[in-house]
Amino acid sequence: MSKRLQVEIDKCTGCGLCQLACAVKKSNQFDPSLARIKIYRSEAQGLNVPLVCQQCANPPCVAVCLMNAADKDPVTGITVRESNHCIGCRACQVACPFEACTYDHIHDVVVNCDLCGGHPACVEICPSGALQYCDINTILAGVRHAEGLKRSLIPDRERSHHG
Amino acid sequence: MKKMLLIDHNRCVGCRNCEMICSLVHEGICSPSLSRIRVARDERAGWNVPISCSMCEKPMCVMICPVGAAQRNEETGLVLIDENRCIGCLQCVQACPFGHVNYHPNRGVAFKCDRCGGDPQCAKFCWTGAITFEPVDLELEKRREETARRAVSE
Amino acid sequence: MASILIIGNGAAGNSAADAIRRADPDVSIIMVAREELPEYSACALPDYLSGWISREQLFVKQWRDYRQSNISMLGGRDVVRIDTGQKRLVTNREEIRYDRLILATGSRPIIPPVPGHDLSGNFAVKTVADIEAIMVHRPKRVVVVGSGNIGIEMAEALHKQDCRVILVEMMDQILPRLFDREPADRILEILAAQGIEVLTGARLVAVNGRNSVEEAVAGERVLACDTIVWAAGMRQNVDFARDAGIQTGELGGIKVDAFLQTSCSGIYACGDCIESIDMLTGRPALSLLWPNAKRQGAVAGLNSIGHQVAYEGAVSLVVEEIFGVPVASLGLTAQALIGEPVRLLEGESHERYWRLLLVDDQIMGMQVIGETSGLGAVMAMMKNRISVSDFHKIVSDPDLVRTASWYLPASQFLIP
Repeated sequence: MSKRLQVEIDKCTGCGLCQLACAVKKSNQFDPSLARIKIYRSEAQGLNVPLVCQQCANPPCVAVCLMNAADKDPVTGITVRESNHCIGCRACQVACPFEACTYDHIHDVVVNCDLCGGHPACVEICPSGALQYCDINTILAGVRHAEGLKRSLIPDRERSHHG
Repeated sequence: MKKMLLIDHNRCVGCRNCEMICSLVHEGICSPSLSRIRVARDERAGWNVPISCSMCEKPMCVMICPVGAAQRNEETGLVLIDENRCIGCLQCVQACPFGHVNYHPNRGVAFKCDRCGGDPQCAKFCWTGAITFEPVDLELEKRREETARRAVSE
Repeated sequence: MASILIIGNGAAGNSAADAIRRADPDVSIIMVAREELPEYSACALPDYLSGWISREQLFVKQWRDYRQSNISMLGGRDVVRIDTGQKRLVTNREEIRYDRLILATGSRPIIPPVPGHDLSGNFAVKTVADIEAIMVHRPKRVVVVGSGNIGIEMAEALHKQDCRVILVEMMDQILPRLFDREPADRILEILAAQGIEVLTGARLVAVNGRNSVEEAVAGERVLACDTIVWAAGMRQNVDFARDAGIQTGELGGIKVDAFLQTSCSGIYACGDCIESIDMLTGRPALSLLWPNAKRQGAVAGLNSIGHQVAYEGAVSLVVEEIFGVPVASLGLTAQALIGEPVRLLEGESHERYWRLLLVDDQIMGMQVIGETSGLGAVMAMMKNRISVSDFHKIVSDPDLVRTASWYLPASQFLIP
């Protein structure tokens, strides 16, 4: 499954609606601290950065879990957690470079984004379109196409070369 | 003398032999989605441009990798991704401005051209000469020759 | 390759078995272990004692998981000897031939042979049986010896079971291997506020009692108690390896090369029982942590079937909750860095206290008491030797910072 949450940082206004939508949908609470997506705000740089689980193929959170509670779903490829086995130690929170692990203070377990079963609430609510749910291969093909176009415009006599 | 992978897109006819041989050599089957080199094509506009890792000196993939799986070897100049360390977060896939890094559909890890360890097969099998693997100086000499010829003919 | 034999059913042994099976669906995998239980997480034993989790929740594998993976797990086995010449393992029940052997025998608790250490009422903390023995004993006044993370967790678990707990620590601070003095003292205050008495700089020298534990002598104090819980360090299970001629290192663990192969060709080792290399210093180190055991197991397993995976070294990552307050220790402490020019960065807010240890522009360690978010970027930078200068270059470049946005949360620690 190669669909993932794509983030266009420059479109993020830092409104935080994604956090609220996520917390409401996944935890039934109007509490942004329970959101699986987090907005890192850097006022000095004028940046708002959504941080969310990257659904890594070999996740550091799975590698570090003291209860082997985190794993990859063999069908969907999503990083899933068996909350019944999670003891809320938060080792995964520190092992993840992407701030993907959210501590659910109500149930004392750790949770992460599960892409809402294919209809991410954050994408639906994002007013600026900073969050998209799309296929990485489509994006990659687009990048290569743009690159090919650029290079194709280089005229006959000058060769293009790579290192 | 250091050899470089040279791509003359004007000679590329879009046959994608390079994609076939690359995936065959690395993965055991002919499958473009498993190829390191990809041919960008626009049939309407009529161009075909083979795209493969340019082995940047200041690679974005190395800078962005959170686990140090992407590394540049100072001696060989090659930028390589160690699949054993790759966690498949795909930051490098998104970060490369040229789309050189690919996403493995089966293993979920990032992969890209490794110059076949020094004997790139795409260059060997490209029958139009669009992809060649040549020493740097040779290329410079050819270019000087071309420039000179142009200067003389105009 | 016909058969792989793994000694040990813990994190390292199972990680090796699973990695092998994922890579090769056909090779024969046999595991032998002392306990007749499927794999469980020893890290969660204090939570079982406190009643936070049930016995079932301890287990990370069920018997059917071994069957489904076609892994043969033989419990109730003790190692008698390894015959490296004949490639045979002799157990108390049978002889097993192997093509490749993986040693994942782990470690056992150290109980110093002080007078009275073998009285009824003395307990170690390593197995399910240990915890259940403590439960059956019904402790009321407990002396916990050792204030490493196991000792602290046991103290809290016993406190939750309404015991009066006294924690005895030999060094002059608690958690000496994980925290510097100042943060350790803050954690001590958390324990003290809960009514746990902590004696530092005190060594337990004797246990007195007629038929069972009645008092413990620590330093100058005589402590009335009915239970002693020993959490005073671990010894590696390497005796049989030594007897078989397999080299051990100066720190006591089995010596391995970069591919986790021992001095004996075809025999690999992983987990608590090995002498590892610290990822940050490159020096030999003992790292008896679950995540390192898992990673070593996977590496040893793959190498045993012909792969060539180099082990990148062990790194310390310990996160726990102490009476509701999360605390984390990453990498090295000031004690471990003694002699190096350490630069200290510290900070405090209502959410947490944190300190970063830097040497020559590199992050070498971090300690946090309180909120544990935002540490992932620091951990990744530390493991990948991304210097503080590199970090500043990236976050101050408008293009780079947008691409490599995962670096940003480290700003709260690295940008004053």
